[in-house]
Amino acid sequence: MEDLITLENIDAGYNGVKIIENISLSVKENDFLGIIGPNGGGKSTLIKVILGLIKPYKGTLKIKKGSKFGYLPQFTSADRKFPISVQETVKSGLLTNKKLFRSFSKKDLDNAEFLMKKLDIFDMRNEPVGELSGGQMQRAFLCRAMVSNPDILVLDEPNSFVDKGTSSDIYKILLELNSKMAILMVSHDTGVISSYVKNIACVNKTLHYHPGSDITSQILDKYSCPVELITHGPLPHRVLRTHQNGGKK
Amino acid sequence: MIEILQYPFFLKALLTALMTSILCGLIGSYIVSRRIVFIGGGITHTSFGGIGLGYYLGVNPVITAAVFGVLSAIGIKAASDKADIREDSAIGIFWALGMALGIIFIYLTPGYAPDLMTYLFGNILMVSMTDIYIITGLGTVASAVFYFLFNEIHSIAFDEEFAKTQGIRVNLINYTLISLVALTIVFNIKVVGIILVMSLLTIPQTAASVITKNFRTMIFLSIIIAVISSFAGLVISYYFNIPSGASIIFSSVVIFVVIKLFYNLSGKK
Repeated sequence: MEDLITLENIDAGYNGVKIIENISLSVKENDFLGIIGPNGGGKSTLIKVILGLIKPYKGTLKIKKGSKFGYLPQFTSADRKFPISVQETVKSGLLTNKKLFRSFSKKDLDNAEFLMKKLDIFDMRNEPVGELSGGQMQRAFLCRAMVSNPDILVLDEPNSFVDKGTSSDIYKILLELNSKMAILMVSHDTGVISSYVKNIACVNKTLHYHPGSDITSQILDKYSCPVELITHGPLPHRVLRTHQNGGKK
Repeated sequence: MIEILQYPFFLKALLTALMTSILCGLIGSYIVSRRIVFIGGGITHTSFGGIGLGYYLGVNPVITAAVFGVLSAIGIKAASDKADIREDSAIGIFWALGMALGIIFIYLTPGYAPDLMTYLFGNILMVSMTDIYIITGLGTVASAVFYFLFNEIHSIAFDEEFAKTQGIRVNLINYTLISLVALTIVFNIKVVGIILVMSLLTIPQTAASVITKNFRTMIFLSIIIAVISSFAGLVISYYFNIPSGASIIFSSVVIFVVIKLFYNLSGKK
């Protein structure tokens, strides 16, 4: 299988401050990569380098030619008072399929409707997106990320704000989509990570790649990867302790 | 009421008001939705430097103001995107620089600067046919840009970072629009003046946004509100013999307050 994304010795950050260092990673087609790591460890920075939103200070980034991205940001910087409806928000995810000066294709619009129904936001499609609840808004942005049938779907904490029932629905959809596209998902929920993803990357300034989805505290130990403690929720999950040796400054 | 329609100067003023309202309704909806009103203020005041330069060089001040306006728009954007200067600070610097240059050039120009007051406070009766053609042309270009690129513009204005990941030419569209904003401001300076021009780009749009949360509807409503307030303002200006710029703005504020009160009292959001 061909590599969709290749990073070699990437350093990146903001305002000259290095947040991630010497990162090498490759993602193949149909991979489902879980990205874990402590807060401030550089997970979002890594994602933004891959998406081309920040230029790395050093290293090379290769994306397979013609790859389309779908992206669910962690906190959307979007203005809640901005005049845009749920439907228009979702359709803005189709612009990558559309040539300038053309209109959306019937197939794309049908897919938008299908996904909005599936994620239970179709009834509120004409409401301003800023007036939805946190979970509904998250689902609208998830729709926007998936609607173009991208080659690479990047999700920065898709389960924040979403209740557990909806959350497992979302993962079912993601598993279906995974047969058509590679998925990169940042998550703090290690239970979810071990049940859905194919491979794991732990980012704490540097990156440790762990093939397979079985995370135990021994593995995390070995990769010196401190992960936040997960303490509640109806899904069965493991509680992982923070590492003493991993929190190197 | 009927007799003023017999005067050609008044009909010309009405035509100006109509074209200005269409252009400002559209561009202002973009400015208000994107929260770049302060950038507009920066561009307006920087273009005063251009007006001063026009007097000094003896050319039409609108032309030099247009150059200053567009350069300041691009300069403010580039300073915050590339040079890592915070946007509001960049605006403050351009704003003051433009005013300072304007004063220096006017001071250096021998003699008295005629119709300087027109540029500061506006006078719709001083607008020439050439000015009307320019405003109409600019309105046509702006309408075409919004018609063909509506989805792209809407997406970028809402969430620029997401738009960048979708392969949209975000920078090209942003710089095009900010240049349209600058030209709109500069060519409307004669109509309502430097001090009041931002109000045409914000008050009708804010009133419209009380009524609708839909961007397209907001554009059309803004145009309608702008037309009503400028026509009302012109009539008031004629009968009370006061400057038209001020009476137009006053009318639009009255309309805004009425709409806001009506919506608040009737319990609608």
